[in-house]
Amino acid sequence: MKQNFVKIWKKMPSSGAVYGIVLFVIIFSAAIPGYLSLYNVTNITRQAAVLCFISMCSCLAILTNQVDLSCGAISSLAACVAARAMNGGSSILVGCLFGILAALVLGLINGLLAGYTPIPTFIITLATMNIAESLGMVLQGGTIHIPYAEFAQLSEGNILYIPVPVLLVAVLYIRMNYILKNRRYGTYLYAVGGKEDAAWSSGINVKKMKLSVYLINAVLAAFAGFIYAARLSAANPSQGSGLELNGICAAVLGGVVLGGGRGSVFGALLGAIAISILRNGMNMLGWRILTQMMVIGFILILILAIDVKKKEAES
Amino acid sequence: MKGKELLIKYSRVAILVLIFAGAAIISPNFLRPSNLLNVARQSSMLLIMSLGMTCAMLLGRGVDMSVGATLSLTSCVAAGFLRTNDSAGSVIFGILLAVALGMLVGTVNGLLVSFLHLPAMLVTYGVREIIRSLAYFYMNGDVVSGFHSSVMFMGSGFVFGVIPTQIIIALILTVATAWMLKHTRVGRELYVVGANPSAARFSGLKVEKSVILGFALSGALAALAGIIYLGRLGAAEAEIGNDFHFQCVSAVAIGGISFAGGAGSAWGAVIGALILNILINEMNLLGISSYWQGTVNGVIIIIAVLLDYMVSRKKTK
Repeated sequence: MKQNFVKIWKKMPSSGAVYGIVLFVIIFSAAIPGYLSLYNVTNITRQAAVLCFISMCSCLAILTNQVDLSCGAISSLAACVAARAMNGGSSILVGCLFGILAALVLGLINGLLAGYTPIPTFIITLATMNIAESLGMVLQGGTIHIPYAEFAQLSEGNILYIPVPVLLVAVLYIRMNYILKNRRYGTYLYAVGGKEDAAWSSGINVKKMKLSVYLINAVLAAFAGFIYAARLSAANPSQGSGLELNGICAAVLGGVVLGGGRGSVFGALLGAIAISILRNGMNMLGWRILTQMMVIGFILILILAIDVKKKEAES
Repeated sequence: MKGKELLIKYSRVAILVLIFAGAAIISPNFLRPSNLLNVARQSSMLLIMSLGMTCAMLLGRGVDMSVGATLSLTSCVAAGFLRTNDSAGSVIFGILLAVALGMLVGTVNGLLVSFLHLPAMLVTYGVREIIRSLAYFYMNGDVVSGFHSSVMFMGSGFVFGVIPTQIIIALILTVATAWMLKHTRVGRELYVVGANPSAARFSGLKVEKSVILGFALSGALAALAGIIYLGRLGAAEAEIGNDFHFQCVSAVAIGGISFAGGAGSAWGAVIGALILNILINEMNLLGISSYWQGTVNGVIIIIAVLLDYMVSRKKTK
C-alpha cells in the first residue's frame, strides 16, 4: 500500500505549477459561469503571453543564479520608445527596432555589471529598473497612443485560428528548450548556474554567459512590452511595473530553483500560465486590485517556502 | 599606508564634501540657510528609515523591501489616534501602536527569513504587497488630515525657533542606533551574525533571534519615520510611503553598508541620506524634471556600490 503510494507520488509532476493550474481552473470554473468557454480560454492565452515572455527572463536569470528585477520596467520602456517612434512617423518595424535597441542598452548595462563586477544582481537590476522606469517617464509623462491599427494584431490577431501571441510564445519556448537541452550554450548556462567556480575552471567564459543572459532578457522584455502595448493600442511608462515579480513567481512556481542550475523552460511556461489563470480569474470575479495584490503576496511567500523546503529535502 | 587607510575610511565623507561643494558652485541658491535646512529636513525622514534598513542589512540576508509599505500602513493606522482634538494619552497610544505594528511586520519578515530560510528580498517584496493592500483596505480611499499639535511639532515644528524638530529626532535616533550597534551586546551580535552566521551559531549566539531583531528594528524605525512624515505632510493616505524602500536602498548603498552583511554603520546611512537629498535638491534647483530622479537614483547606486567593491578589493591586496 505504502509502496504504491510512493510510486504514484514519484510519478506525479514535480512542478507546483501543474497543481496550481488544475486547482485554479477547478475553482474558477466552479465560481464563474462560462469560464471554460472558447472565448475566455483564448482570452486567457492572449493575456498570458506577456507573462510567458517575462517568465522566460526570470527563468534564464534564475538558472544562472541571478535575478532580473528590471525586465518589467524594460518592457515598458521598450514599448514607450516604440510608440514614440511610431508617432514620430517611423514604420511599425523600425519603431519596434528602436524599442529593442533601448532595451538592449539597459540589458547591456545589466550584463556588463553582472558579469564583470561582483555587485549582487538584485542591486544592479533594481537600479536599472528605476532607470528604465524614469527614462520612460522622461520620454512621456503618461499614456501614448499607437497610431497603427495593424500593430494590435500582435496581440489580437489570429493565424490559422491560433492567436498570434500564442504562436510567438510557442516559437520562443520550443526554441529555447532546444537551445537549453541540446546546444552548447544551454549546457554552459546550466553549468554557470550549478557551480560557477567549476564552470570557470572548465573553461566556460562565465562573464560572457552572464552578459548574454541579460541581453537575451532585454529582447524578450521588449517583446513582452510590445505585446502588452498591442493589446491596449497604447504604451505607458509604468505598464510593466510588478511584472518582474509575477515573472519570478511564475518561474519559481514552475520549478526553477532559486540558486541556479535546476529547472526547465517548460516549467517556467506552466508557472506563467498558472499565474495568468489566477490573475484572469480574480479579474473575472471582480476582485479589487488590492485583494489581488494580497493574494499575489501570499502566493509569492508560499512558493518561496515550498522552493526552500524542496531544496532542504534534497540536500 | 596610514594615509591611505584614512582615505578609505573617510572616502564617503570626502565624496559628500565634494558633492556639497559641487552643488554650491553650480547653484548659488544651494547655500542659502533656508535651502540647507530644507535638505536636512528632507534627509532626516529618509535617514530614520535607512537606520532601520541598516540594522536589517547588517544580517546579510538581504534588503528589507517592505519598509515603505510598513510606513504607509503604520501611519494610516496611527493617524486615527493623532487627530487635533485627541488627548495626549491618545497621541502617545497612537505612536506606540504605530511602532508596535511596525515591529510586528518586521517580526513576521524576520520569522520568514530566519526560520524558513527564505531569501529576504523576495519575501519582503511579498510582504510589501500584502501590507500595501492592508493599508488600502484600512483607509478605503480616505485621506485623514488635521493632526495633534505634538505630531505637527515632530514633523514640521522647530526647537528654539530655528532647528527643525525632525532633524533633532533623526540625530538622536542615529546616535542611539550607532551606540546600540557599537557598544551593546545585541548590536554586536547583529554584526557577527551578518559576517559569519555559522561561526555565530557555533559560538552559541541565537542567530534566529538576531535576524528577527534586525527586521523588527527596521519595521519599528519605518513606523517612527511614518509619524514624522504625517507631521510633515499633515495628512495620511494609503500610499504615502510605498516607494520609499528604493530611496532607502540607495541611501544605504551610498553609505557603504555591505549587501553581504556584517559591515557598515549608522553614520554611513547619514552620509547616504545626505548625498541622495543634496542631489535631489540640486536637481530641483536646476529645474530638472522629477522624472529624472529614478535615473539619478539608479546611477548613483551603481556608482556607489562599484566604488565600494573597488576600494575593498584594493584593501585586500
